[in-house]
Amino acid sequence: MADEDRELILGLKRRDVVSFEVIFEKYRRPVFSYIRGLVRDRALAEDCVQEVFLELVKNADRIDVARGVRGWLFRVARNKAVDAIRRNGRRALEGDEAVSSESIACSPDAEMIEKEGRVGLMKAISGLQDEEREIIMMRFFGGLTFAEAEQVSGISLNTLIWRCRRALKKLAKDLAADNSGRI
Amino acid sequence: MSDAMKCDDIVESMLRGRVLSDEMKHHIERCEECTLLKKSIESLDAIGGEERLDDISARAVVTVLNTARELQSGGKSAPHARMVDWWLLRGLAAAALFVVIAGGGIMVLGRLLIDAVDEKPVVAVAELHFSSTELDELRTGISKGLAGFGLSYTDAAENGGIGGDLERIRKRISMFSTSLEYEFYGIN
Repeated sequence: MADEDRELILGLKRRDVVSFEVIFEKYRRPVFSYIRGLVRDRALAEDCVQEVFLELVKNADRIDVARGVRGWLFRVARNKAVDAIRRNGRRALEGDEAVSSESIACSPDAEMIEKEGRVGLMKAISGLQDEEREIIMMRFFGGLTFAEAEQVSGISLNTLIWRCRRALKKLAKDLAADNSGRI
Repeated sequence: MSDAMKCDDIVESMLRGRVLSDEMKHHIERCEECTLLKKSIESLDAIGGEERLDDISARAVVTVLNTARELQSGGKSAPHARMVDWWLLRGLAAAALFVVIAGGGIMVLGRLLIDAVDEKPVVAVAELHFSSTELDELRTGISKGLAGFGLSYTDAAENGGIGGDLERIRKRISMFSTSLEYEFYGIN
């Protein structure tokens, strides 16, 4: 991954617009997914994504080519999300959940069941502790490896894995309770 | 190895995307907790993958691309580049005005002030060599040259590239202004 981005980073340092556009195209969705999972508000997440990529342009000279741009982007994304949460306070998944509930009501049965499961899982993720939710977001929504998550968060690999395992056990428990409730 | 440790190892292997051994697979089939955890991981992987297909709005995409292009070309939206150029211009203009207005008088004044450091009274020496009108013009010129642009000595020195001389002259003019009870505005 670092090799693929190497030429793009060098291009970015030369102020090559095309290099920036390729990086933006490659990473905007996972970065958005990660930030939205943390701030839990679509509009706020969009603002953060814009800030992240504008930071990339302004600070291209500081990026270490050997380490790649992915970790840098998610590190900045994390900082922007934390700042946004501090400025705006925590939000429940109100907007996303409302949309999901409406779409479930209108769906055919199989689709409805799948969407219910999805809403249930997202609700369960919302109920996790901050540190647990963050590793879930990095690993599953941002698509980061644990090694990359370690770079982004500055938290040791073993701690991240332990938190992720703990989060999964909670999620599994919530989902099992949810499923048995429906029987 | 205890069952709990085995479960933890299996979960870690699944999280890291490692290939599971036959023994691990067999354990999962028999272990309710591992089965549930495996389903959770698979659900999260699926949902996470779908979420990563979701995108910011088209408007946001256009905003980022346009702003990035302007920043990279050093255009109007490049505040950092603009600030450096503007300060450099102001510094050079201030330095040029300083030299033009002060002209030969500054050279003499500088000499006088240097002499002043040698304990000659500044006021007495200045009054010997300049008329009151000339002194007024010098004071006005110096203050306008720097303060008129809203620049401090430090700014002008950094951006005009004549730091050492300005610093020396600043100190001398401070002494001069104190002696003549003249207030310089906007000058640090």
